Amino acid sequence: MTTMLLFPGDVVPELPTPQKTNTALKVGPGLTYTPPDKVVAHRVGELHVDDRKCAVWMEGNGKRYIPSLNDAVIATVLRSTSDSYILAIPSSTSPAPASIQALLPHLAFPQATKKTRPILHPGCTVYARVSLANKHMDPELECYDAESQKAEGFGELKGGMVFNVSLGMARRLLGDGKKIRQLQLRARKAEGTEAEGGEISNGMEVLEELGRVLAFEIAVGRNGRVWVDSEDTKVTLCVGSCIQKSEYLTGDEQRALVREALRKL
Amino acid sequence: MVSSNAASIGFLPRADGSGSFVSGRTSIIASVTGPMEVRIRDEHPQKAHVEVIVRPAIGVTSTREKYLEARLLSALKPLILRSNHPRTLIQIVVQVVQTAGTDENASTTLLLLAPAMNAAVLALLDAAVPLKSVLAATTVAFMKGSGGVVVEPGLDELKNSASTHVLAFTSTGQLGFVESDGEFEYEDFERVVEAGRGVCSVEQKGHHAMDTEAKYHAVGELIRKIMSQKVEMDMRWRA
Repeated sequence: MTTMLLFPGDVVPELPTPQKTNTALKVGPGLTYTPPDKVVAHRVGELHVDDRKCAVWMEGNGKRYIPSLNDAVIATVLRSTSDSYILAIPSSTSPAPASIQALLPHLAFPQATKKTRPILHPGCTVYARVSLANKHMDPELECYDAESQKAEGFGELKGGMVFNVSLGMARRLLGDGKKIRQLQLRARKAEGTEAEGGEISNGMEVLEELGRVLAFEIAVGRNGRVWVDSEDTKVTLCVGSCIQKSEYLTGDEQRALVREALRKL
Repeated sequence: MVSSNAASIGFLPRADGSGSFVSGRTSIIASVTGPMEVRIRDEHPQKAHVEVIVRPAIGVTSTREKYLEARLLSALKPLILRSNHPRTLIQIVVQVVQTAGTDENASTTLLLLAPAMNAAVLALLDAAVPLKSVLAATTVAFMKGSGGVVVEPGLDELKNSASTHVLAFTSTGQLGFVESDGEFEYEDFERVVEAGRGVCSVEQKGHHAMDTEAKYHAVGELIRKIMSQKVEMDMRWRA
C-alpha cells in the first residue's frame, strides 16, 4: 500500500465511495470536510483510507492531548466540589496543573450512591473514560464502562508509576497499530503482493514480549500517560523504560530491546 | 547569492512543538504550546487566542521585538484554524539566537522576519496545530542601479539595495504576507514577488530537484523535507 503524505491545505485526492446506500463517509482526525465533496488536511500526516468502513483519517503524532469521546485517559485529581471531582488531564509534555481540566461527578462510579461513593484525595491518579467531549464545554469523565455499567478497570490507580509517552505511542499500545496493520495486509492481498515487503509490525511488540516473561499491571491513557505497577519496583521501572525507548523502534528492534532489558534485570 | 538554509524540529522536549531555522548568519528557534488554558481577559468564545512573543538574542525586549511580534502575528493568525479550539491559547515563542548585523536599523530587523516566520511555521506543524495552509517566507532585495533581484541577501547586499522585501507564500503559491522597506516601482515589485515565489514553493517536485545540492535548500522544499522526515520517523514502528 502506498501511503500518502499530506500537508495543511492539501485536498484528499480520492475519497472512498460508500458501498451500501445508507453508509456515510467518516472523516477522521486531521481532516476538515467542506460540503459537498471536499476533504482538506489541516495538519501534516499520513493519509489512511479504509474502503470497507468508508473512512479517511490522518495518522500522525503529537504531544498535546485534546479530549474526544470514549477515550480512556489517566488523570490527576485536583480538588473536590460538592458533587464532583475536578481532574486535570495532563498531556505527555504538560505538567498536571497547566493542562485541561475535566469534571468527574461523584456518582460516575459503578454502583455509587451519595453515601457509598469512592473518596479521591487531591493528587490521586484516576483511570477514566471521557463521557463528554465538546470544544465549547469542559470535558466530563466517567469511571465505568458504557455498556456493562461495571468498573472494567476504570477507577483510582493505587501505587505504581506513571510514564510519559507520545500520543501516537499511547494509541499504538491500545491496539490502534493493529488496525493499521490489518488495513495494510488487506491492501497487499488486493494487490496480490502478500509475500513481498516483509512483516508489518503492530507497534506493541514491546508489551507482548514483556508480558510473556514479567508479571505487571498496566493502564494506558490516550493522553500519553502509561501507568505501570508490579510487585517489584525493578520490574515496574524496566517495563516503563522499555515502553519509552520503543517509541521509534520497529517490531524486531522492540523485541531485541526487551530481551536485552530482561537480561540485565 | 542564495545563503544556505537549515532547519530542524522537535528538539524542545517540554514544548508541544518546536522548530529552528538558520538562514545565512541568522539563526532563530521557535516553540509552540497549546491549545491550552487562556487568561480570562484574552478568552474568545468562538476562537483560540494566538500570542506571539519574540525574545532578543541579547538584552531586553524593545520596540524592535514588538514590531516583529506584530508582523508575525498578522501573518500567522490567519493561518491557524482558530475556531477548532475555542476558549484556548496558542502561544508561539520566538527566540533570536544569532543575528546577521549588530546595528539596529530597519533592514537588519527585516532579515530576522523571514527566518522567524519559517521557524514559527515549523513549530506549528510540529505541534499539529490545525492550519489552513503552510507558509514559507523569504527575503528578497532589489539592488540599486543594476536593478538585479537578490533572494536571501547578505548584509553587504542589503546595504547596496534600493528596497528590501519579506514575502511569504502559502502552499498554493498565493502571496500571504508582504513587508517592504525602501523605494521601488510596481514593476520591480512584481519581479521580486516572482523571485520569492520560486524559492517558497512547497509543492512536491521531482526527485532530481530534491538532491541537486546538499547544502542549499529552497525554503519550501526544506519545510517539506523536514516534515516528511518527521512523519517517516513517527511511522517507523510499522516497518
